[in-house]
Amino acid sequence: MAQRIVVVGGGAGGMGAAGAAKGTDPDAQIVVYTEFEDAAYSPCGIPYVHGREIPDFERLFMATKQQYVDQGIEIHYETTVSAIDTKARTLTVDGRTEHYDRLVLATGWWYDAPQVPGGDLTGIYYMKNIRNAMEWDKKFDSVKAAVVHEAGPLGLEITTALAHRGIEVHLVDPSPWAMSMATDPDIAKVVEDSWEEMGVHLHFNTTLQEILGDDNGAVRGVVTSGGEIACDLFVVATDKVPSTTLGAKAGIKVGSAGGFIVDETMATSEPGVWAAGDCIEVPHGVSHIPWQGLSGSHAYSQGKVAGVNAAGGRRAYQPVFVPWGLAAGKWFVGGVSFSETIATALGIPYVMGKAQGITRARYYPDSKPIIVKLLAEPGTLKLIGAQMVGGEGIKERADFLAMAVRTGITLKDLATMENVYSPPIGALNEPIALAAQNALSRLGN
Amino acid sequence: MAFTRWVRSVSQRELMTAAKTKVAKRSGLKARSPEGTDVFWQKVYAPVYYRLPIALRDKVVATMPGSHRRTWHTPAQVSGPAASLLGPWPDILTSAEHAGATTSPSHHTHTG
Repeated sequence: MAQRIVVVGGGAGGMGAAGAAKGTDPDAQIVVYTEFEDAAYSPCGIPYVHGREIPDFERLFMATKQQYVDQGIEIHYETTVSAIDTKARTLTVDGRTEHYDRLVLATGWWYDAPQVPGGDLTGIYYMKNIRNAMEWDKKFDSVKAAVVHEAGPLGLEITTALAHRGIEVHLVDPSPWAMSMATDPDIAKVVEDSWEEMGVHLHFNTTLQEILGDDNGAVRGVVTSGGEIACDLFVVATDKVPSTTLGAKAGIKVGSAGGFIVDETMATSEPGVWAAGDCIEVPHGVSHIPWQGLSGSHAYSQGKVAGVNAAGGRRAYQPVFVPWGLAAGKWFVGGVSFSETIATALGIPYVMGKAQGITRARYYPDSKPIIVKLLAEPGTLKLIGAQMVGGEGIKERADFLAMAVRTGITLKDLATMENVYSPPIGALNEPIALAAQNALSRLGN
Repeated sequence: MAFTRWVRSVSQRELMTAAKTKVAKRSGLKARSPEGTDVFWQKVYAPVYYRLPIALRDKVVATMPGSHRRTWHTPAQVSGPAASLLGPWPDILTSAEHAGATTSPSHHTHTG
């Protein structure tokens, strides 16, 4: 008899798991439950539709509902799973009991909602669900001023998007600079300067105290530690919090980082249950500390691992080194693993090098500057982190540097690396090599 | 679990705040002064934490509940031309039904 593999969650992790399970065991019955109207779209593309870089939301869908039917993946939309019995291997789905043989939890995340008065007003936008985003997008043309709360990755993207729409944007964050959980101020400053050129108002070292409403219960402003800001849109862009309530109630163990505890096969603490995506925590490859709240590509890869193993195959996931990158202001910013700030927070000693280079030959049109900053372990000089800001070429360098950290490449290796030289795509001197050479020269090598 | 989650959450927030203050100062930026209970965490907890030997801090982190205490292989553990992409599969995982079992941190784990 065909095994019944149930996936809870229709995001990147869940759909990665469903597809991989079907690929591993084509005879298996694959069932996905999602509380939303859609599955398998790119929520990461939403800010770029808001910013008009992408012309419509339809492009964000990866497959039609019929394509999943044709693949033999049975998706139940707008369906709530309210309980799991891991002993009986059953789920409570919209009040009825459903059996599973293997279960994959991909219940995702939700924002760390601001704990201030006014959180129930209308005009507060949590950017996540695509149908909701479509409705909000229609309203943006009439929005005069927006406050974006917190300058994390989503905050950077939505700030830039709203500025592109011609909305007066105020970015409010309690930290001294933008994206402070992953970057240092010298890298963030390039982005911040470009925001100011775009008319964005930056309020760092500023805490949110209240969201103010008008007589109709709509947002009319916020009170901060730096004073009152008038706005008719408030965007929550706080940290991601893993959605683990459903699994935790069933006894599935949650770790100190807040996500489900998993091993390299994505198996949870309960036999027959796997988990993937933003609801889990995975160890960092350098610090070994569990991290959560990673990217869509991490969620999808974890989902594939969970799906293969749930279906009886064998696949393992690796500790993460977290290459990241995004568009912010007029630049692209990215990095890998540790910034000076994170290393300082963990009390990890480091050596540092930094250089500015260019992305194409200096004489080739549209050559853009790029700053690369590298961190390495003293003594061994093994790379432990990197940050970059520039006009292009951030993603490829972040991916490469993540592999460099993962494989133990040193500053000496990078200082003498070979590089592509072709005027339209690369300059004579590779900025990564220049940054490594700078680090070695600081050390007197 | 709620307690260790709280410890991790508060430690992460306060150590990041302390680090941002240090880095901001080095960069010529201002940082907020701690207020309320943050005064304790910034004036007492963070300085004490940084005075602890790294090995002790690592040991405390390693004993916290989390995915890092389960089975994880690193690329360095995979070697030899005949090794599969994942290397030899640990016996404990030969049955998917056993995958829920927690392994000892000293056996095939990546706790550092």
